Amino acid sequence: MTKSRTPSNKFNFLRWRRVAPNTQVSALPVRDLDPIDIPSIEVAAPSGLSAVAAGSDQINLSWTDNSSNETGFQIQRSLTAGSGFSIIATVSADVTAFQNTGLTASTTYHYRVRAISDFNNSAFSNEANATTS
Amino acid sequence: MNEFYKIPNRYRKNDGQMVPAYLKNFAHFFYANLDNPISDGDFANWRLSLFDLHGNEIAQDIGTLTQDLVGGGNFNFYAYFTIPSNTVNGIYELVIYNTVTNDVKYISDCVEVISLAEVENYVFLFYRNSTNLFNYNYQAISDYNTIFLPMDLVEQQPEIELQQYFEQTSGRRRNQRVITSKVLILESYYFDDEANDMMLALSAHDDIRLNNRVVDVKTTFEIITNRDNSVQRGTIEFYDEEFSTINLSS
Repeated sequence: MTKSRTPSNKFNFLRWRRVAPNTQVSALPVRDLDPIDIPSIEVAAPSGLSAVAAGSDQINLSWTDNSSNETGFQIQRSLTAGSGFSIIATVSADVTAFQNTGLTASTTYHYRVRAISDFNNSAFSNEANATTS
Repeated sequence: MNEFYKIPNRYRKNDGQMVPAYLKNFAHFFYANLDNPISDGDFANWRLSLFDLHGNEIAQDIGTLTQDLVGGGNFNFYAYFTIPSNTVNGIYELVIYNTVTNDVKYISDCVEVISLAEVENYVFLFYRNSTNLFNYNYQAISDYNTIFLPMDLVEQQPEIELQQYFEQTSGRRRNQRVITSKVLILESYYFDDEANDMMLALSAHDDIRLNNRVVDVKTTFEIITNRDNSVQRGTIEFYDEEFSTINLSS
């Protein structure tokens, strides 16, 4: 679908854009908030992620919060270094630790964390891993 | 809206681009004042729906579109619409499409859907004009535009005009008339160029209410942040006409 970058109406808070003819409603694309309007507001990535096993079913994570405009932190985990991460939790802004419980014994888990906000997400932190006992 | 909401005055931690917000389960109104009114012959089949940003239709037929013929067989369009109360808060777009051909006609810029719990973080703007402005056929359409905007009340200032005369019998100065006004200074959050233009255009309107308070523009919108950025913050000053009083001294 082609989308005009210029609204079809001016001086109105609700702006409408004319869509190219024959654009089917079933073909509406995934859309960012608006590529031309995304603010240049950066969210700094957390750093210093560490993972420490705390028994056979728990790993404790901690990191450094480098941003002041995040709404929270998203924690991702994988059984493989560098790939296969999935979201396991989101914690509130300014939180810098997380206890991942219910894990399998004698298993190595890999983690990464990123700061999230309403409009931007940060890059990921370093990866850290730990092995449950 | 009968409820009176306090104009927010908190700075937000998370600055973001201005997105106009619509309250769920509330009758909103918009008028599409097109730069070039259109003459599409399939208007009877147009539908207004709410879509998420993945192209999924979230709520169908959220309002009835109406043509506003503006001459030469061309028209603008407008609608009352209501976001269903079961809509999850978030960012969406309004989409107008033909229900027979499924052709998309118009897509709005992103809008935010909010619930009552979030209303206190926004200014409820209710406005119209007594004469036509910017292709908006106000004289034929008596309805008010309704929208919630991310703005904060950053200052309230009194304005006092003191008129005095010199009383000869006592040799003292006397107050003849005191006109007090309250000036509301509101700050916008990261409006883009088009929203900034709309804030300037808002100054041309003569019937404005903020959170159900009748106001008049005192100072037009002024950008206060770096103009090199794609989005900027700005301030606008209103007289709170419901506060203003005229006190005649005896």
